[in-house]
Parts: sequence; C-alpha cells; structure tokens
Amino acid sequence: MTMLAHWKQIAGVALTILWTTAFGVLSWRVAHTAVKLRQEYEQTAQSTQTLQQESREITRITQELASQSHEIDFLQGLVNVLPQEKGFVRTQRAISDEVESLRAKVARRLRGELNVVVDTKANKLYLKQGVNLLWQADCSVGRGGVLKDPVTGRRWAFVTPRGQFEVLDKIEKPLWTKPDWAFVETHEPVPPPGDPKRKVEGELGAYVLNLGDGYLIHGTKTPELLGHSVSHGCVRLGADDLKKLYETVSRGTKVYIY
Amino acid sequence: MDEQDPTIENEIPPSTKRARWENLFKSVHPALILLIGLAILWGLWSLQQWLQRLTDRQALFISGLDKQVEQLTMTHDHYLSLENLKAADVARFKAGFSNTARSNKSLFESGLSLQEERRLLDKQLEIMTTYLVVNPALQRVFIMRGDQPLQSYLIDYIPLRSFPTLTSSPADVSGGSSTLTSLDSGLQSAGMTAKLKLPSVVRIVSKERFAHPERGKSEVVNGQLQYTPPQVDTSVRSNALGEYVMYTNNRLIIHGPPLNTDDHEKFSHICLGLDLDAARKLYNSSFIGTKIYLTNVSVTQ
Repeated sequence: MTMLAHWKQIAGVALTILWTTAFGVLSWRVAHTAVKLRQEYEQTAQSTQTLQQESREITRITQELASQSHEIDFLQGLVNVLPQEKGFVRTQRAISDEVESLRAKVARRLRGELNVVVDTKANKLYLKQGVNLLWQADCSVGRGGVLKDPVTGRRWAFVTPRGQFEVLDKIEKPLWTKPDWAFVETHEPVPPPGDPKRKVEGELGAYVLNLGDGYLIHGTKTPELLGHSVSHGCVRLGADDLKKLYETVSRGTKVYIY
Repeated sequence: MDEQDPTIENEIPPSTKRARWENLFKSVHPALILLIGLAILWGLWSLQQWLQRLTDRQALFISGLDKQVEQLTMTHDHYLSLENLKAADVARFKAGFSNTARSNKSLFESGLSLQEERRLLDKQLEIMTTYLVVNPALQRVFIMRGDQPLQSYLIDYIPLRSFPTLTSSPADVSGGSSTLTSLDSGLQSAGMTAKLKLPSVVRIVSKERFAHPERGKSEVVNGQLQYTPPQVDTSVRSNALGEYVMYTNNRLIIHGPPLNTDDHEKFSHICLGLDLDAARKLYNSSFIGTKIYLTNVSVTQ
C-alpha cells in the first residue's frame, strides 16, 4: 500500500467520523426542535381551550347579568304594585279610635256577657265575650229570593231575619220537621202536620240552637258551601264549629244577626 | 429447476454483506459519496431550521395567545365580581322587597281586621240602639237610632185602631195579649166604643215578608185523612195583614195595606194603618227585638 492510499484511508475515516458527529448533532437538534414544537402546539391547544372556556363563562355571566337586571326591573315593578303607605296609617289610626269608641259603647250594653254575632253579608259567625272576639267561623245564611206555591198562593222569603235573638233551646241529635216550603220546593204534595214524612233525621247535623220563630243554628250536609248564602233562613255551621258553639253557649245567650 | 428461497438474503454471512458494501463504496466515486453525505447533512440542517422557524412562530403565537388569555381572565374576573355584586344586589333587593311586602301585608291585614271589627260593632250597636217611636201629635212613626230620628212615616190611625170593630166578628187571634183580647170582647159585648191602652213599650218578636195564612184543614174522608194546605185567597190572616208584617209581643201588628178590608177588620190586632212604602221601609229598617215606644198613644175601636 502506498503512502497516498494510507492517507486517503485516514482522511476517509476522519471524514466519516466528522460526518457521523455532524449527523448526530443535527439529528439531535431536529428531534429537540420537533419536541419543542410539539410542546408548543400542545400549549397552544391548551390556551385555545382556556380561551374558549373563558369566553363561554363570560357569555354565561353576561346572560346571568341580563337576567338579574330583568329580575330587578320586575321586582321594582312589583314594588310599585304594592299599596303605598302615604296617609293610610293616619286613616287607620282614625279608624282605630272609632273602633275604640264603638267598643266602649257596645261594651256598656253587653256587660261582658257571652254573645254570638252573625254577619249575613259576609257569612261569618263570631263568638264574643263582651266585645272581645273568642273565635270566628264561616257560616251560611238565607239565600234570599221568594218561593211561591202555585197551588195555595203562599210565598216564603228565604231570608235570615236581622235582629237580636237569644238561644231559646239546645237540642242534641235533632229531628227536622220539614215545613211546608220544603215540600213545595221539591214539588211534592204537602202532608198534614204531624205526618211521619215530615220527620227527617240527620238533616240538621248533630246539634241545634233554637233562636225561635222557626230559625235555628244547625249543621250542614254541604260544608263546602259554608261562606255562601245558601240556606232557607237558618244559620248553618260546620260540624266542629257547631259542636264548639253548642258546648260554649247556654240558653239565654244573645245572638245578634245583622 | 431450483426454487429461490426468499429468506436467502438473511442467510448471507455478514462478511459477505460487508464485502458488498465495500464493493459498493469502491465502485462509487468518493466525491459523490462526500456530496451525498453533505446533502444529507444539509437536509437535516434545513429540516432543523424549518422546525426552528415553526417553533419561533408558534412561540410568538403562544405569546400573543397568552396575552389574550391573560386579558380574558381579567375580563372574566371582572365579570365574575360584577355578577357577584349583582347577585348580592338582587338578594338584598329581594330581602328588602320581602320585608316591604310583609310590612305592607301586615298593615293591610290590620286595617282589614279593624274594618271588620268596626263593621261588627257598628252593626251590633245599630241593632241595640234602633227603636221606633209612635208620635201621636205628629201622627207619624219615627225610626230612631240613639237620639237621632232617621226617618218618619205617616200613620193613618191616631188614635191607633183596635180590630175587630164592634160590627165585625172576631177572627182568630195569634200572638196577641189575652188581657186586651178579653177586654175587647168585653167591650164589644157591652156594646161600648172604648179607649184602650197599650203598654208604653212593645217589642218586635217576629217578621213575615208575606203574611202566612192560617193552618190548613185536615179531615177524614172515607176513613182516610185528607189535608188541604192553607190557601192565601181564603185566609183572613193573609188578607188582613198583606205584606211586610211585624208582630210585637202585644196586639200591635205593623203591616202593609190589607188585601181585603173586611178581613182586616175581622182580624184581631191593633193597627197603625201604614201604606205599602212605609211598611216596607219600617220592615227593612227594624230588627227582631226592636222596641216600639208608644208613650201617650191611645187605642180606640
């Protein structure tokens, strides 16, 4: 082998080593840059996602704010609907003074006695000790109107009379003696007085307070109609209220119906 | 013919492979090899440069994105605090509104309760303090509340008339005073025109919008009980008293014009002689239990 060939071989080896090193370095740099680029893409994706989330959240908040504004507007509108105080309190104070004066006048006459008051317009019954209200209940009073018997020409007005009554009698498990109008109303022939057809059980509830002149405070089979004027002139009460009233009042208790 | 095995390449010994490579290198010109080597290196370098440029561009983009994210985060925080403030406002407003509503409700309810009590006491007092006064000097009956006259109506009979008259036969007396009835009968039998005296105060005990006729008739016909309900046309009571009838705890009966004058005179009672309008208004304005003051009121046949 000649000297030149030997140097050629050495140069070839050196070049190969140099090339390999350069190749290695460049490859490493390419790989490194690629990894970095990938990381940056991932970071970009993450940032984009964050941006989207934030945007969505801001949109939600904006909608929520708009909704809250609407709610406040609505509530402000409601405040305007509520009655304003203005002079109402003064008027109320004046009414309160009037009530005090009325209480004194009525109290002088009632002398603290137990009394029943029936409001025929409002269909309410009040039990009072003197002027102090003990309890109140819905009741039903006369429905008004006139029933005419075409056979005899008789007419009945189904009105609860107003005035001062008193409890004349207290009866448990009462039998109802149907008056003539009850037959006329249902287009049945009117039986003679004392006829068994006139006796009806359970129609008046468990108790009756007799106010005289055919008027009673009694129970009802249609409690859902309490608070409405549906009776034929008597005062109807719910079973529990009737029991309470029956147990509380005694004979002679005044009943004011207005 | 021999089949060529596809795996024969793998079976070539490494020394042969190396020889092949050496042969290849020997057959190619060294300058070409050098050129290829440089080209590969240049390719790698270009690739790295290209990736670097992409990386730099991406870094710039990320930097811009980060700024945006930062800005958006700040905006988000701002909106979030605004939302919290608004929510607090709404909550406060609601609480205030609820308090206002509650206070207005209780104000309204107490007002309603006062109104209800006023109505109740007012009506109760009205029943207690309403009374009628018959004033013979003015020939009127007054509706009074306390000391105040509310309304007055003319009465026909002053002195008041007691029925039945001497010429008519007495009809059934219902709810009348037995003393006065017997006195009436006595006076009639004595054939005298008399002045009767009523108590100074009587009280309304019953009201009938339409005067009810007497009871019906029951009779046994052929062994069977037959009942005829009362007839209005033939009833003395109905004909005598007509409408708007108020019975007192004495013989005084307040009523509208009779339907039949003869029956009116036959029916035993003391009468004011009211027209229909006066009877209706008295009926509507007075109550069960209302007192009628009859001071200095005389009664004649």
